[in-house]
Amino acid sequence: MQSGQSAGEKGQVVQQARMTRAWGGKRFLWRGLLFVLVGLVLYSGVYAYSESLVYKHTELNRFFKIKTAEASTYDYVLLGASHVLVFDLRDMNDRLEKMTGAKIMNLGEMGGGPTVSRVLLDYFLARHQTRTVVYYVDSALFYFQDWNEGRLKDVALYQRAPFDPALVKVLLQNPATRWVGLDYLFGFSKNNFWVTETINKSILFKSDISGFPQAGRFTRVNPALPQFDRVRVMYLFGSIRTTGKHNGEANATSLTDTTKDFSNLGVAVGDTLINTTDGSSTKITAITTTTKPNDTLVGVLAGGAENDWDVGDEYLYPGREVNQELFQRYMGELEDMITYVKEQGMRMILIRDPMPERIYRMYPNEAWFEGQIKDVAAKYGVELYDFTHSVPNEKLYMDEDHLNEAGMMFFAENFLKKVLTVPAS
Amino acid sequence: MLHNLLPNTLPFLGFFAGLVAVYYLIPHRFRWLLLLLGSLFFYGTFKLGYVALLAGFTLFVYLMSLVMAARQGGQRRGLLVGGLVGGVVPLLVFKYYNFFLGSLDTVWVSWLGLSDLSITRLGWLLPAGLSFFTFSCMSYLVDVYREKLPLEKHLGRMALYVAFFPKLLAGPIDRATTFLPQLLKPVRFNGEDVALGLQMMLWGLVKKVVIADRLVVFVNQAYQSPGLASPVDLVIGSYFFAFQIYCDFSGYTDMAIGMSRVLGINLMENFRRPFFSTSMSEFWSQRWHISLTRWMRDYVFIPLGGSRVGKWRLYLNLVIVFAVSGLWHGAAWTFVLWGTLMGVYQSLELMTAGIRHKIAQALRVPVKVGAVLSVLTVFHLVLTGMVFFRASSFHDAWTVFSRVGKAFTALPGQFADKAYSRELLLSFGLLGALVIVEVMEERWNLWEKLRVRPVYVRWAVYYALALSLIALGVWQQTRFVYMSF
Repeated sequence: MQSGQSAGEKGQVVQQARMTRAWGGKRFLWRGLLFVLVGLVLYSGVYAYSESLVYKHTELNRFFKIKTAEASTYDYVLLGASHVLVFDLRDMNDRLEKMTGAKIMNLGEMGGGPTVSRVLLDYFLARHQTRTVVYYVDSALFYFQDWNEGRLKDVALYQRAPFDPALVKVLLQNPATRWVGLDYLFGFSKNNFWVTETINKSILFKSDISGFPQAGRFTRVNPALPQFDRVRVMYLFGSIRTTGKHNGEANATSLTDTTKDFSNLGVAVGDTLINTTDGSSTKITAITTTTKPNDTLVGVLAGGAENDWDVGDEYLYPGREVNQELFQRYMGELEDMITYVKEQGMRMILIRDPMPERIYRMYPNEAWFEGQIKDVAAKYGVELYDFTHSVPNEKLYMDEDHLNEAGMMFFAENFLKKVLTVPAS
Repeated sequence: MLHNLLPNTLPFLGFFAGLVAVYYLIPHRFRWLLLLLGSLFFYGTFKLGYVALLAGFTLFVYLMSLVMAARQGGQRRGLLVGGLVGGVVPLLVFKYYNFFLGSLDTVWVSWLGLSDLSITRLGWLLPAGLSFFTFSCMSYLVDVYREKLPLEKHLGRMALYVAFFPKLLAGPIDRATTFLPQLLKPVRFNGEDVALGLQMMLWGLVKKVVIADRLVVFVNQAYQSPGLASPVDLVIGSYFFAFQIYCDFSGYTDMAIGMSRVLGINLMENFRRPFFSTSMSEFWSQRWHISLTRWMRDYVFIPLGGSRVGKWRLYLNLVIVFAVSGLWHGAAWTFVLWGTLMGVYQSLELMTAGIRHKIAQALRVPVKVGAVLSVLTVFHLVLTGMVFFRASSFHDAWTVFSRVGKAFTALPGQFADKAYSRELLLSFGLLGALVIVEVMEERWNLWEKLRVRPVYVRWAVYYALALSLIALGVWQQTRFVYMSF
């Protein structure tokens, strides 16, 4: 293949001639300014097209819901993560409204912790009013940044959010969302039609129903497989609450349970291990192998009757130590929300949503968390409804911990209806 | 907030714009200082410790060059050797220590059946750009030794040569002989040069963000578990990898050259439409990672005797040079094999040059047909090497070849039956557009032609490229592939 030298040589001569007419800074700046201005005009056209796609294909995005709903006073706003979001799939919200006679806005957001809920609440209150705020309390959302700051910085949250100065104000006022607020303001990610979190995910050209995994499983009955339980709890918490019995040597200093691979359960050095038979406990100093891989936890027991492991002694691994700094931060967010809601003259309700018993037993540190929530509810005088064990029938779940259609109807008829009643004026 | 200031991120654009503005406002005598501080700041956003390493390394090379330049004869030579050995120590430690230990373990334990030596592995990350600025410094020392370059007594300018941020992370491996003199010449603002530099940056960004980062998804799908991917996906992944690495690396280089152009500094060309090469020799010496090939030629190949040796020694020299080049790319035997294969290809090309010419004459192959066949042959030879380059292990590379080989006759049918996602079709479309642009550049010097077109034509092209960045850019992938080297 020829290199086009003669044409290139001619081009070089022309180019050199041009370059002798060096532009000064002023001319460059004026041209640059004009280039940017024309570019902004063109960009505005792209932005307008993206906005039209947002209105055409969006349905469940929470910001979209808030913006496009008629300015109104609601009886209840539901906040939380996916456990409350499922009540907005298909016509569930309409059914709930008919059942309760209440006007309800469901703002549950996938993976949305208390910081996410607060942003949604602030935006909601910028355009609407509500008499009661209902917050679904899920423990995992209070332990990790993934469900809070990490979620807020996810531009996918805002790609389908129609432009609204009120939302710009909310995002820019919140330190956690300032940068992503600029992205939203200038529509950069929104104009990116081919966001590839996964292949072939051209966001704005498809309905956002597909972005909500539970939507496709609305009527499904979970087959309840242990390996999926484990994957789910590890995904949420990074560790699994575990009980069992010591089946190693008698009077051992280390716990051995050959039926377990403790590393697969998220056990980490530094976590607490309790000998519930003996009443002693320890900090784990090593995870080793006796008969099977990672079947032994090493740590010096103390505070019990014998401070050792006898065959048959029962143990409890309550779960990975909670990062107290993060927990206090997110609990503080919830307390701020409660304070704000009450100061605005609204009612606040906390709800613990139902889950299958076998999943509940795997959630780490759950008893401790329940105590923390009760303390907060008591401190601020807010109503707390703990429905954790109210739907034990596993056929009423679409997966490990989300109610399916039948489950939602059962839960709504027997429990939620009693909470979401319109107070007598 | 400022963390890993990569050139394809918004904070970097802000940093660069601010730097350029100040650069042209301050007197020339202070510009080296501004660029040096800016470069150190840039490198510091990756890790502050890297700056200390870079500073220490630069000071070592500077002092060695000072002492060496004042000596003659054996002392001078000895200091050169000392400087080169000392200069390569960080690279050996950070990049190759664990690799050599792992290889030694394999031989000692697996092959000889001896007990584990239990030598501690290092858990240190490879500092970004170490391979590149090590080579820059080594070439500086050798050029001073050979008196090809006057000793640079100004520590600041010498440090800037090493740390200059556009080329610090992934080259081009520019020579001090061309770089340092430019720092002495006052640069006046030239809008034409700045516009050309910005144009190069824009095109480089498009290659990286629109093309390379889109293809990487398919490449990873295929190469993550080659045993599970379909033969069609392995073929697509392999072809895509060739273009992914080209667009990623040349995109970065275009941005580096463009940024330097904006600052009135010219860096050497590093890529020139490599997939149009008609021979392996042309591919390496004139089109692909040109700065590295020239470095290897000047500092490894020629000291080994170059081409002024017997033919078998020449072939051996070529294999050695390319094997070293492979090792430079990565601390893994797959890279060494890749490099060795390139050396073998070049040697075979030289060996068979005469007979190939005779065959072409005998068959009366038209020149243009011959050229096309040559281009396709060279491309596919390079592609086979790139399978080793991308695969995680020999086993994975072999899996790719064997699975594609076994399914070879069935591939057309499998391609016809495959369900093509919108993303895959878009990727094919973008590659087609890239090939068209490269053909136009090869035959008609497209970018030079564009520079002399009316402003509305140039701006239309720039807006189209900018729109492609906005609408089609894959902004989640940010790291440049060659930074890993």
